[in-house]
Amino acid sequence: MKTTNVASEGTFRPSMRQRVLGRNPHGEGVTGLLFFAPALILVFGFKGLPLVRGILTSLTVKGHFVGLANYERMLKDHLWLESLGNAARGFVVLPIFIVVPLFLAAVLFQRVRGWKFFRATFFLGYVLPAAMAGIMFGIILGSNGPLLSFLRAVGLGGLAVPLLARTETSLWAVYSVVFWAWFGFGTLVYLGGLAAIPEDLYDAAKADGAGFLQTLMHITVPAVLPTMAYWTVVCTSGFLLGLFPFLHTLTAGGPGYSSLLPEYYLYRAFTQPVDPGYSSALGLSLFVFVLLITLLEIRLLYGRAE
Amino acid sequence: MASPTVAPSERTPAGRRAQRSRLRPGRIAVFIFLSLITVAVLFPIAYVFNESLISAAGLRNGTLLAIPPSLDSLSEVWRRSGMPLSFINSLIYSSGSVIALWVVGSMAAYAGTKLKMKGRNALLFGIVLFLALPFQTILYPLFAQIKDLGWVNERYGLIVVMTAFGLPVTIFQFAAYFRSLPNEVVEAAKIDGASALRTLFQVILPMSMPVLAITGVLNAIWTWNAIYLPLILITKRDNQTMVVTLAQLVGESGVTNTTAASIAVLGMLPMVIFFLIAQRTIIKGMASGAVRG
Repeated sequence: MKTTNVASEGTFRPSMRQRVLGRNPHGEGVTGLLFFAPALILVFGFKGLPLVRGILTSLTVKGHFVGLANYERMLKDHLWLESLGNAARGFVVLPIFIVVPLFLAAVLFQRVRGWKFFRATFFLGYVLPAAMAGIMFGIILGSNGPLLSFLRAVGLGGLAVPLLARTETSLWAVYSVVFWAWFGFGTLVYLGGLAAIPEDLYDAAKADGAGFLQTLMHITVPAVLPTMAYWTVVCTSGFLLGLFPFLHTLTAGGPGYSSLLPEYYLYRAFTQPVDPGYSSALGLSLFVFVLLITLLEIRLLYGRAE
Repeated sequence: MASPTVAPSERTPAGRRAQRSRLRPGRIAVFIFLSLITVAVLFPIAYVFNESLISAAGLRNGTLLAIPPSLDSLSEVWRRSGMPLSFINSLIYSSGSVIALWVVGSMAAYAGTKLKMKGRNALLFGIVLFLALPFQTILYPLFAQIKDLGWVNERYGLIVVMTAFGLPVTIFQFAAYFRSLPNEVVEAAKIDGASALRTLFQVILPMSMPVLAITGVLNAIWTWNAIYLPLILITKRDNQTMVVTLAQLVGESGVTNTTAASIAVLGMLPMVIFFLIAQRTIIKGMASGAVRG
């Protein structure tokens, strides 16, 4: 038998005692605030406040208010535009990042012998510090590295180009390393999505005599679209905001600016004597850029999933 | 036909469905295919491990395999990177952040889901919304703020910032889990006269092992691997994390392939070991935390 008479929020019927003592029926508000307090202080203090200050700072140059001058400067900044161009080029390989893990997940889902081992191994790349992975591949792809030695050994010496040091290939070499590191995570995400597909769909397909590929195309892919949307957003924000460890250890944006991405340009702007107003403007623009693209992707993919 | 390999812990209907066998030769081809991918994944790691163990003599002779293995290169890097200090630093930062995230995160999530207060959903939503804000955007103002607080290069400064950045995700995960816990448990504790604090820490959290494990492991990983934040906020080598210290070594002089390989190996070793131990939880955490279908 309940001894409290707070059946649910809003239907409080105070007992005589509580009415006398004037106890607050929704009395956990204070406690609630106290519980929320550390989190609120931390998040609003170290994310919210800097955001506001950043917006304000971006409207200044050398401390003086200048309106949108920084943003105008940004639009004429040759290096910034180059980095945006590289980011756009990177989106060419985004489909590979999205589709290949799905394929692998579908394969693993067949539960071949040792699939758990494969799943774990694929994922290992994501757990390792990206900076160390970058150093590792810096060696592998370097002029004295195994890749080039192998190519020379089999007589393909002509192809033996230090990928990270050539302007034509540096960007793609970086994305390849990122793929090595991230594809396992994607596979894991898709595996989760696949596990949620109801069995009846597969039974119906089998009854209709559908083969592996047909089932894949007409049942699995549509049902997995929400997961695909999620993974696409993860990859996109990763491309634009999460490549720093790789860039820093593989190419530092070079050679020249062939692998310079906006995120890394931001870092350079921060470490070099660049006006704080300008670097704030750059940072905010990148954020807006990411938001817009991910919103677009969500609309495209989630819309399809209806 | 012999039954296919059955994953013992498979519980979902779709999973069981997928276990019914397909063509035998197909399965062998699949296995080979997956093995090839595994080789592609593991080869770089194996290569640097091997390279890091090559002795100085082996280097001169240009031998390929590190036989007999030598710890020379590894110990040189160990020495040059100020170990074990940087390892201890990373340990401090990661465990400090993980614990702080557990405490602060669970409290906020508890208030947001189990305590009767107005506006709890709005507060939760407001916090989780900051998930979307990347720290690069606020890099400069954040650094200015930390400098004003005098926390640059201070250990607790980095822990506080990392906690702040990990809170939205952690609170989201705690909230999702707490919501699935029945309210009767909270009511019962209240009837017994327990304060909210006690209820949370002595009743709810012991029941929350899964989410504690997942948030703990995930936060441990990203705080350990992070280089951007420590790079910006820690300026003296003595306070720097292991990963950043090692990464900075590569820029210094006298870095041969073997040295670089040793750097990479030392940097990856803790995570490799951690992964081997906590594999199950990590995978479960990543997968469950990720599915939003």
